[in-house]
Amino acid sequence: MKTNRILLGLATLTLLSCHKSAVIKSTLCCARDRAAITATTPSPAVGNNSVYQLTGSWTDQHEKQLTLSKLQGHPQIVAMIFTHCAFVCPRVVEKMKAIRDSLPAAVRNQVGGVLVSFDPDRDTPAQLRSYATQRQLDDHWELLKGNSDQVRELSMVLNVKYQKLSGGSFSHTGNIYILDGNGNIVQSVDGLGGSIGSAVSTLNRLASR
Amino acid sequence: MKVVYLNLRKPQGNILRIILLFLIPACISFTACRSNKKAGGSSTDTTAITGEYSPVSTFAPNVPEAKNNAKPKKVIVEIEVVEKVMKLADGVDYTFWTFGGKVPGPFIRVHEGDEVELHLNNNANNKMPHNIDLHAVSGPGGGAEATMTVPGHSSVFRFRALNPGLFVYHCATAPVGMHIANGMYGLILVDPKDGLPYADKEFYLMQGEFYTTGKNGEPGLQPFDMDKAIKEQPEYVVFNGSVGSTTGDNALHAKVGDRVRIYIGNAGPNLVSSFHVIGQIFDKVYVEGGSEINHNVATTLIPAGGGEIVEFICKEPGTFNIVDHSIFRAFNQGALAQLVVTGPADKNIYSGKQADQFYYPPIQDEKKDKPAVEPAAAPEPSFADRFKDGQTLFASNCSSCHQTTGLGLPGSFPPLAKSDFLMSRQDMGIGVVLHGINNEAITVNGKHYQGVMPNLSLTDDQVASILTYVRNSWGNKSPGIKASDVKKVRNQ
Amino acid sequence: MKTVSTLLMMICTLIPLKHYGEMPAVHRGMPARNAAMVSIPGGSYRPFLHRKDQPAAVKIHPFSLDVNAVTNGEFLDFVKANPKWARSKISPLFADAGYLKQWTGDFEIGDDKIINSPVTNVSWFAADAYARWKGKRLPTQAEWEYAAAAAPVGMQKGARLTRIILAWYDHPNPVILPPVQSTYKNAYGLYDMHGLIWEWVEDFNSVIIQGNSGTNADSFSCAAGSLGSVNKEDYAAFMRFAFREGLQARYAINGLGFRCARDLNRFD
Repeated sequence: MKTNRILLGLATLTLLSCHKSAVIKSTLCCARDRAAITATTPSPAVGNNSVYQLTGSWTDQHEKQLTLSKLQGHPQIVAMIFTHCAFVCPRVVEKMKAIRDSLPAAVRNQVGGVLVSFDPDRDTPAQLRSYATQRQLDDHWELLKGNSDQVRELSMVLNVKYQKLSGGSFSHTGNIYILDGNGNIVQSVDGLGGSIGSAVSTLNRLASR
Repeated sequence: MKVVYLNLRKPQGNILRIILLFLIPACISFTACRSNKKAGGSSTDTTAITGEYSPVSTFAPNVPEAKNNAKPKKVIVEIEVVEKVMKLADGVDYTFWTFGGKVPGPFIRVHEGDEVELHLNNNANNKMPHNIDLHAVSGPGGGAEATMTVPGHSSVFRFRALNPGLFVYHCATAPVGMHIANGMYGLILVDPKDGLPYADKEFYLMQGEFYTTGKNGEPGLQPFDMDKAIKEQPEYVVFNGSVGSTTGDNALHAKVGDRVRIYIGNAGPNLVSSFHVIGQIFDKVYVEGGSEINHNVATTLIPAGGGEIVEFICKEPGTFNIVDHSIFRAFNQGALAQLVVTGPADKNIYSGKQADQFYYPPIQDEKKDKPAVEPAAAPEPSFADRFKDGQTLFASNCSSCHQTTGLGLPGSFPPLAKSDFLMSRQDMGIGVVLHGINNEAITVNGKHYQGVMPNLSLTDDQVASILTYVRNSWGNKSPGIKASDVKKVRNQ
Repeated sequence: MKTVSTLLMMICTLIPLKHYGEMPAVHRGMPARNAAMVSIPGGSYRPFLHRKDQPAAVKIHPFSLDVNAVTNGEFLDFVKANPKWARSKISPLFADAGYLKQWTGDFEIGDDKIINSPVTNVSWFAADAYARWKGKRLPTQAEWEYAAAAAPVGMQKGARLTRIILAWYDHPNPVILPPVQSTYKNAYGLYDMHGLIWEWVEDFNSVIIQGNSGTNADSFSCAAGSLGSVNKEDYAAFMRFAFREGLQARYAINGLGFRCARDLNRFD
């Protein structure tokens, strides 16, 4: 069992170092291989309400460059956080994990988790990697860093409110967003209170499409 | 009845199957019983909703009919916010911010236990953001936090009408006072479970103040004055959004015998109302719009941001003024509405004016309050003094009728000048002055008089002086009258 | 990977130095006219909505701001050069159904009277795209509030800007929006900061009034602290912040437009 994991990890690293522009994931993960999109017009495949119409380039915890459209093809659970957040973001992440864990295994493998950082200054890829390890976020998870303009733009699309405070932390709303395979926001749930039931059933429904 | 098949070849499996077969239907019926028990409970009851409807909302002064649903329903309410210029008073315009295009906003009527889905729509031509706080809501901001809406957009939220009663709703966007002061308010009635008793007429009134830069009556489009609002010094206090909205041709109407129910809200934003219908007594007041009922009240207090339900039976026809009894508001600032009642009058309850009589002014003498007691052994004044006193007393007590000329008023008041009636009397006129005349027919100088001469409660001394003067003026001649003469006649 | 990005960043920072006074060449389709801008000197701004755990004043670096709002005419130039922002082409993600509804067509304003009036019914995304097309950006809320607080030139002694704004609130939206520069000029040389339209700012969604999130999630902060206004007398500001609180970036609203800002080059 353990040997398998090590081999898998090595394979992933090799593949990652070879390709700079394409996102390569392990077969367990969620994104499809795509060439990076550089056109400024939205891809016709993603549809009019898709979040994937945002064209900015992000860096993930594996130092890979990707546009959000790389996430196309699988339902995603998305939230905006920052790693130095002590009280709230950990709970939001736990709730996201709980949602995924409540899914049947076949569905869970199809559903990705996405955490976008408010804090590009401190949330470098290394920091994001460390965070992922701490929170036990496997390769189904993308932790993204972008410049402050991109972060603001994404927050506008998701309807997240946030403000950078002096001292470097952020005040922000804590919803969790469920995106379908085409990047349309299907549901938003409270990141702190409430049950996970409806989010789970939404994802089951999306995965069965 | 469940029939259980036993498989004798597998005893443990059998037992398990039996248990399951019993348990499953038992569980189902048990939960079914429990859910039946839930129906019809306390105010925290959140029974299942059956069905949905969009109620008819009406504008003041009309009230929608009660639905009287047996079971709670889902109610869909749509309210549009419209900013528009309308008349505040004759010649005076104001930029109102309204629910539904009118002030007050629509009367929303739902039933206890209903689930209300409220759509707040902000017209695209508006400038301002708006929201809504309904006092019938149990939840943060009364709905305000869920409904902040910018122009051209709509917010939706749901709440359960847990408590029956009459409640205010208003916009709660900061600064709240300004939004209320500009007309964003109305009433929501949550009918109690068993409904309210029958009333022949139901009316919707809502009091509110307006703070304009120009003084009351100054014509033109008047802006809102924040300073006056803070000082609580309105220029207008009105019912239903404008001066005269419910008076004259716009008055409310009812018939003799009608039970009238008025849902009266007070939007404020600042003042408390002392609500009174002149000429009516409320036989029922739902205090502050709640469940407590007071009886036989003429004037009731309505808090700012609150409401009241009042009831009375119209016993007499006529025009009844409805006021805030902080009375300058009613007659100088517009807090006046009217109810016109038609039908037969009952003089036993109210007679109207029965008599119109002359009013005799009271005696202007400082000795009036003292009992008519003679001072002991006062010396008799001289004729000249008596005459002089008598003249003064005559002027203040008698001349208004008999005139300073002593000629009286033909047909009404007999003359004293050369009066045969006076001069030939045995008692020298003392009896008349002492006791007055009460409709007794008399003849003076050949003319007939029948009227009332009041009993003036004068002292013997005063009577003596008056008669001395009268019997020696205008051609009359007689010896002076003494106080002792008066006393003698008085004691007869 | 890291070297490549660092190199790229260095190149990007050098470009403004090299092209001092010119527009960066990366933006295609440069418009013929450029709205005038004024330099706003740096200073200190006291945020209207203040958190107890935050400093009472925020430093504002010098920046430039458009003298007036972007007009329908200027926005038309942008749409012609960038057709994906035309009314019939725009993605619903980036604007709602009211987008440019005052125009008669994708590339026609229709009414000459509003060519020089502020463009309204534009979403934040459209405003942001326009600004970037011009080599500018949207002003931040702090920058905008700071610039807008300046008194009108020639304001009567004793008069207050708050009262002037409240008077604007009192009047319904005009059917035809007057042209830019038709209200007052303030001490910085900016026109119509109040009294004509509401204006987008870059970070309008940084306003989190406790409990006012409007969604099923509670708003909260990662650093505990409560929000209060610094000046309870400033009723006009309450309204403005409440307006921002209710906005979403894709909304196109009748009375909402924008103007652009730009960082002041260190040689400016």
